[in-house]
Amino acid sequence: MRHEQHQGPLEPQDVEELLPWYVTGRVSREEARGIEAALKTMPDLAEKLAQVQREREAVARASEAVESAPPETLQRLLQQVETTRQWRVPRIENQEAGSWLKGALGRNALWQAAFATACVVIVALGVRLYNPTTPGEFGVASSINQAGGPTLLVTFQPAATAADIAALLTGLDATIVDGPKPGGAYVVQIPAGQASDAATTALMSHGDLVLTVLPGQ
Amino acid sequence: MDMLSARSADAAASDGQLLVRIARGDQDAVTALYRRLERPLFAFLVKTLRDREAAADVLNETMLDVWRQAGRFEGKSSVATWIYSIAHHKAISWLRKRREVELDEEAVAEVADDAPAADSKIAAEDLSHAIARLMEKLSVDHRIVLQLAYFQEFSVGQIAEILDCPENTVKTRMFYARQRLRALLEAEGIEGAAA
Repeated sequence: MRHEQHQGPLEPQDVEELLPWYVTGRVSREEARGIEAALKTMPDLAEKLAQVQREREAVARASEAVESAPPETLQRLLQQVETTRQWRVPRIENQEAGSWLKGALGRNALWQAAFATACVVIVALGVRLYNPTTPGEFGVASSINQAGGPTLLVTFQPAATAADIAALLTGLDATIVDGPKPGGAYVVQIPAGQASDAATTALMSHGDLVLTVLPGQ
Repeated sequence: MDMLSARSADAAASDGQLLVRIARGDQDAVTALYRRLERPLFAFLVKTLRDREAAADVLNETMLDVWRQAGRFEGKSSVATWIYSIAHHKAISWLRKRREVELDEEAVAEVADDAPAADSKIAAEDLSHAIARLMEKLSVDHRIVLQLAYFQEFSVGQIAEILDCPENTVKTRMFYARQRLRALLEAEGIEGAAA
């Protein structure tokens, strides 16, 4: 949100509104100049400024008197950090690189791709063999968009939450269009024009959420 | 790097640098950022929630969210503004659960009605203490804006980001918060209340 700076001379009401920020030095140079000019011409403004300063001192003193949080708060936090997954969307490191997908195809991509390939081979056999021959046997409605991109058969880690999965797929512009299939796999559709291999690598780079990725139909 | 050097490196790191390290899974950076923000953030939460235990819980949840979401921080605002907006959101959720937001205005009205008569105990009390005491009787929105402006020293724009509201709303809330505070002071017959 951009700071809305005052244009031109400050009205008396603007001056009074800004006094709480003037006493903490959080007004622009222009606003400060306007307030200082008003202090010379508005006789009651100095008393209003003194009132604001008294309020500020009182609030600051009362807040400083608050004792620290109990030490166990940090201990509890660190214990939770040990067992809490992070959102793996490395935007900070890859702002220059542009897309999220580029970030996902980072340093570990080769290793993860190799691991993913091994998983794909093993699990593909299992899932394909397990797939029912009678369509609709599991009563799952499919919403594959024929105009969309390729599909992938994805299984997620058992501990992955729906929110984590939704965030991951949103980052890839991908959607679950069918599933779960036997073995717990979901059919994930990626945008038209996007290569399955790149999407597979991107998904597999989230090993904390994704277990396997197989080529779709 | 020994522990002492690591600690001084943490102290020298900017909030943004610590957040980048947190996004990479560095737990020492979590500790460093927690130690840096704990006092002012906890004070903000105590003053907002008026409950130390709840403030500690919300502080913990806020920092856990910082850990989870560090990789999603886009740098559109300062790190402190971002963290305070998480804390504010969680504090308001906590208050809503306790239905304090709905009951707040009633509580304030009752407090004003029950205010002691002028000169009953004001003489012994310094104005600063009176302001701090009466601030506790303001509505949560008013307490928050006074805290963020006077203690955390955020600008109008930063407070607008934290509260997710227009800057004019911040100024209006501040105006009414101060007006209400003056009214409470005057109701207790405290000199220097009127400006």
